[in-house]
Amino acid sequence: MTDSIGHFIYRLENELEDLSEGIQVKSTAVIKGNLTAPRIQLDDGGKFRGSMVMTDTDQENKTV
Amino acid sequence: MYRHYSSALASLVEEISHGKSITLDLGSNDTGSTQVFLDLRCHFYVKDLNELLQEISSDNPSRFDLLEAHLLDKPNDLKFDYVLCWDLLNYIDKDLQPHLFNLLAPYFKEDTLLHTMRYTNENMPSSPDQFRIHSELNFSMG
Repeated sequence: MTDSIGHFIYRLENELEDLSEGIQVKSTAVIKGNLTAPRIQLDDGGKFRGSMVMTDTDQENKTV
Repeated sequence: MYRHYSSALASLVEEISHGKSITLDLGSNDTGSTQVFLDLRCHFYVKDLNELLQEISSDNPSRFDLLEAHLLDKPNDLKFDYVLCWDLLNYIDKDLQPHLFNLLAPYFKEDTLLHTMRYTNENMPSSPDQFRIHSELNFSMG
């Protein structure tokens, strides 16, 4: 999953919330990059461009 | 907003749900469809050409470069299983479409499936529609 490690561009603070078991992309978010986490939640209105994958194993978990 | 049932999209979602696949979505993630595919454990790439449509209109001589710049770098060995175009190709100039697919072609396999919607009457919306996936694979537009 090394190809899923990337960067983010944040337009506003607190747009991306790190949940205990995943990532939440909030409704005001404008994000470019790659997300890897056991759980990804996309709130309505959040803008995302890049790759996303929800993982099953502990080794893959939450690489952002 | 109205709902309709697309057997083509339904079968595609059904197929995607059967295994870990890599899907390229040329549309936007803000309609909720992306979450449906993520929940199916699909590796999802979102390119959101919606936000670029005004900039790549036919009167912009830089539209080819803008389109290329918009497509983020991807791993060289990446191959997509599915490509979702929604209704976007209706809004991209005919001369720009070959350029788009030439840029993406290295990431296609022989059996990559591409899904797109074409408007067949004169009542085409002025901008791409929003498609939401609901239960039992019904879709709403608008």
